[in-house]
Amino acid sequence: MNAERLQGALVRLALFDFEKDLPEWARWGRDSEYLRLSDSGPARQWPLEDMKKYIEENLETMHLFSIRTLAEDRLIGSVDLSGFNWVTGNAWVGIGIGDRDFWGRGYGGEAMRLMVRYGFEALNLRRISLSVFEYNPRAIRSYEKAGFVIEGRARQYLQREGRRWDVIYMGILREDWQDLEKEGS
Amino acid sequence: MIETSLFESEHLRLSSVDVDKDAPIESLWTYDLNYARHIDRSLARPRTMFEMKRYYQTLQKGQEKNELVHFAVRRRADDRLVGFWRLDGIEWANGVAHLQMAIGDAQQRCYEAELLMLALRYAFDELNLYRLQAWVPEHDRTAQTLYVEQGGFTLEGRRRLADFYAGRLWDVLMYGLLRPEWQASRVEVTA
Repeated sequence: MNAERLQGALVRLALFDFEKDLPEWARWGRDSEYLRLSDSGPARQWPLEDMKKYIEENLETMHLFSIRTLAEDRLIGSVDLSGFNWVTGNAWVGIGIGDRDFWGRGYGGEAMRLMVRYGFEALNLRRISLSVFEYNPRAIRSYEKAGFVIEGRARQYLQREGRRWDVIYMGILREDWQDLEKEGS
Repeated sequence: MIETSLFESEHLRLSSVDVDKDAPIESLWTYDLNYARHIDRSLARPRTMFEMKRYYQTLQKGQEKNELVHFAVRRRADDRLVGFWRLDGIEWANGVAHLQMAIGDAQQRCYEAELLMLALRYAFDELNLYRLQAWVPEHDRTAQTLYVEQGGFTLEGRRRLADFYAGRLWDVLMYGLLRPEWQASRVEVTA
């Protein structure tokens, strides 16, 4: 594998840069809607130092990439694989487009497809899992386009804005991905 | 008045872990890989006594941070360790948690339903949770029957080929139980 395999038509997956990328993370972290789309835990404000520490402590066990546009090399989000089970060949993918200018335009979708390819091609995964919230239909559509299928639904998992919402579990098998690759080529 | 005895049922008692006494017993149970998967979800393998002790320390840290609740389960008659039950991934703001339980002593498996009732009562009545989930590999039919028939859990999904056991891949079945569902069908446990 080389850097080209991490590059699409709109974005590339780049190595995380502590100096340049962390301040952007801090900016996204002020957007409560972004936090509520990303995490089931309470949206909170963390000092930059804590974010740095979290990444430092987890960088070796998770595969974290910054999502950068090809046009302007602009940082727009991040994507990571974590929670590896090397016996079953499963990992969990998480993605966030922090820069709202790039929501709903296919940038996140392409980054996800690149990450899925990386998981199967470079890490020999058999399946990739994710969870997404019922109130995020844009993400669900995007994941379906990338080849994920809905595998389950944790009913009423989230309590937000005075009501309960489901958490939806999606998965993609290596075979699903291979079929998509064949169609695409 | 509240007179419910949360930690006792007819045959069982919930208690804290006794590190020195429990480690050698639980370590032997991990030869059964269907038991060992409860120690580390991402790698089911037999665990030494040393590893069990370290695992108890990790559980203790989780309990101190209020992220999990873990009980050693003993037989009331002679205080013998028979298994455990645990809630982890507790999210207090959402009122949800992940339930795990197992009886390691093969002769005592008849108490599984009784243990499940104790666990559910504690989770809903004492911790005020709204929802529990349990993920069970497809090969563990006993657990499936237990959660559905005794616990009233609903099958909510199926993670394809997410478990490896006995030489092949299996689906993982996702079960969920909501507080109103439990309240409608609850079975009273008496000590």
